[in-house]
Amino acid sequence: MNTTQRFIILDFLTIKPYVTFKNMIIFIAASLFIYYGTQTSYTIIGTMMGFGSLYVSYPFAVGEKNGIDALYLFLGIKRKTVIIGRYLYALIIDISLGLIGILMSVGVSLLFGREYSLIENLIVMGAMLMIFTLIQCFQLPLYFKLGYTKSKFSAYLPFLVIPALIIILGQFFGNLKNTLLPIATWIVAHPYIIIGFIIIVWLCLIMLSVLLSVRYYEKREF
Amino acid sequence: MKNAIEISDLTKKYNDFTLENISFNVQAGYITGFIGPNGAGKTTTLKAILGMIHSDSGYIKVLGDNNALITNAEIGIVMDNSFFVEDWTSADVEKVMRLFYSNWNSVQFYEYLKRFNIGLTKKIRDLSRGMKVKVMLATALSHDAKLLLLDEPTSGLDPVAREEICELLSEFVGDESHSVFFSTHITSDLERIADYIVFILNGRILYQGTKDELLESYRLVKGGLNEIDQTLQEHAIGLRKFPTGFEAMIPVALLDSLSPDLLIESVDLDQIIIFMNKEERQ
Repeated sequence: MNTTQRFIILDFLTIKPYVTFKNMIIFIAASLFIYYGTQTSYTIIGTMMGFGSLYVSYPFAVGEKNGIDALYLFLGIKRKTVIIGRYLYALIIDISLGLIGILMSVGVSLLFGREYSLIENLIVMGAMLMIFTLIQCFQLPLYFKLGYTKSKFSAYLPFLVIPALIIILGQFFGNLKNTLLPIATWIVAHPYIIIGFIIIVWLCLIMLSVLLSVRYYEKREF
Repeated sequence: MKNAIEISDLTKKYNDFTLENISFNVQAGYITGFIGPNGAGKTTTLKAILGMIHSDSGYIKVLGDNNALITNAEIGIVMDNSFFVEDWTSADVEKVMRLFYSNWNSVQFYEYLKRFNIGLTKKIRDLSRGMKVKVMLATALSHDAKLLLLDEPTSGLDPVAREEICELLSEFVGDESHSVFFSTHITSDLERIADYIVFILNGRILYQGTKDELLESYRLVKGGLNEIDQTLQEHAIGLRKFPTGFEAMIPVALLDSLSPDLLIESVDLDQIIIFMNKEERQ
């Protein structure tokens, strides 16, 4: 096992005391409640991944309270390893909660005798994964630069900004429907180019976020 | 290896405090006390050694290496505040240490916990300060560290706990390949166990050498106000005047030039810090 893998385990050990049965019940109940309201089983995936996002911030919150950055140094963990390990930890959390969301979504569909498509569930999870990782790409450099407490408010801004942007852009593009129609037609005709382009942009943003985090965290003093 | 730690011209500037070009060595195989009043720069120096802060200039070599990260695995660390997650149990601490230290000795860790009467299932948050220090110490002593770095480990502890910690440190340096660098303002602990002293005041190193040499370098002088002569006016350190007389610290070399009527006493480390600190302020 290399140091990055060990660091990821350390992150899980850090949050272990806070992953309680009670929390899990709350998350599941909330997801089912939202499903009941929307009658769309895909919402369960998004809700579970949203809860996963909370756990992504836990090592920062718990670590800051307990001065754990010093422990990383004492254990001989390089700062770059902390960054890479933390991003991978976030990805593991996102994927795990997404998969749990899919299981619940399928389970609920079966329970209520509704049709379900595993492929569609996976596509929804993939899209959600992109959205949540991009939000985390905004959050993590802030946490690494300022610590959890100082950046808490700014770090949660995307949860307000993104829905607002969707509404505004939806209206904007709605008004330009006729102008954008040829572009939309082209997109539908070339889905793989668009998916490839989105994935490249997504990866570039992750890289940029990692580089920013490294730059900020290297300067931090404990 | 002659020196466990070598520090040369280390500078770290803050708005309200500067660690100014400090240089000193910590001899391998001995206990070195790092003394000075609160705010003198002890913790800043220790943090610089451990790579927790970035120095502005100078170099630090620990165990012959100038990369703090490489050597940190060979250092046992006890800070004044616990660096473990408060909701971890001692068993969780063991799991984490086992992950990262290749020389980790679980049996030894559990033996120390047993010796300290610390339950494996008790959370760190539920331990007293003394117990937390002992968990850190048990950790530091269970991965075959060559150097122990301790920042105020005994402050706030009762005499029994302090005695226990001092005993452990003495045991640790029993093997001459081990060294201890021990920052404290409770100097009575050091008087019992330290071989060397590094004395820091206002971000500057005032003394480094053996403890005995330091204690033998000064004497406490007491007398009446009318006995303060030219020598005392010029060379007394931290001169304190009372309605009934005066007291001051003076270099031993000047004893012969003082009046034989004065009362001369030996000094302890606490008094050296107090008088030096007073002299700096005057």
